[in-house]
Amino acid sequence: MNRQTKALLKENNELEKKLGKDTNEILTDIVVYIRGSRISEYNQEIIRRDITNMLIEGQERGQTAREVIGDDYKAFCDAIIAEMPEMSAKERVLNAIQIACMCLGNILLIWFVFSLVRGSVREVYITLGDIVSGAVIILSAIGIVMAITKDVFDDEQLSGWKLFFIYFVISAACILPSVFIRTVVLTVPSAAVLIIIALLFAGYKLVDNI
Amino acid sequence: MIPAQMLKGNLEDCVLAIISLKETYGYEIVQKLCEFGFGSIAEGTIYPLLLRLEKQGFVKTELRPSEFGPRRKYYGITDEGRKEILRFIESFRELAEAVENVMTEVAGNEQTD
Repeated sequence: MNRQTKALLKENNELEKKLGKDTNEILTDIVVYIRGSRISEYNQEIIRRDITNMLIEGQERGQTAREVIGDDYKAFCDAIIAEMPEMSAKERVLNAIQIACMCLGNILLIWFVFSLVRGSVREVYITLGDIVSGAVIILSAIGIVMAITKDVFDDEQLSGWKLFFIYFVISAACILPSVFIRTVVLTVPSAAVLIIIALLFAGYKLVDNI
Repeated sequence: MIPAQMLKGNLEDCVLAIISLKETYGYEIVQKLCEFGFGSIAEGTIYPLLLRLEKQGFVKTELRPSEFGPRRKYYGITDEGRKEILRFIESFRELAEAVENVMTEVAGNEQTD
């Protein structure tokens, strides 16, 4: 995220505080839905600022979010997304690099911590189960984010026991391979793992500032 | 009330025409549309249209302070926008004339029957 986008993000966070609770919740849903689109982060913040200002002014006039935006929030968001340019190829590549750095960094950190828990300080033993679990964690995280952004306006969102069951199955799929498949496929010195983690997080920050 | 389908093709150019009168902002455009007989239109309906007009280079935007605190986005017309309005006026008059011709014929037939 470049400096310009960060400044806009900060400005928007401040602006949002002027909204009442109900309106703020609707704005959050709108922003979550737009976050799932292929619009650049900068343009997302431009839209967020425009909508927030629109809602603040409406609130001052005594209008509800529905009166300002209209009845169909999803159609409103889709109409906006259709008018905004998609991320350029360069932006998409940088975005993918950033996500890759974040995912790999976090997975390596989890493996490092698990290794410490298992009593191995100098070396990190990576098992086949760890790799399977890591892949499931990454795919689940991407899937959950996609589901949240796409279904935010869905009236039939999962809740209660159904939601709990799905989270239980995903959690089990993330943890169990690592627990039961114990074949070691890679042994890496802990220092090397820490250096790789540091490099991945540095890479993430570097891309973030471009 | 004007049916949404009828409104769809013309609202964008009507918004542009309102902007051509003077630099203005979202809520003021909605009020103007209401005054012109379009009925009550939510600001959220015209925001995507304003984005499209901006993307097409028909309007330019500027943030200015407002009495409500946050900066307000003002829309002003560009030279390309003025050309677009002329194109719209010409094609809309053609359409209106064609529709009028059909309606006159239909009204004449109904009187004969």
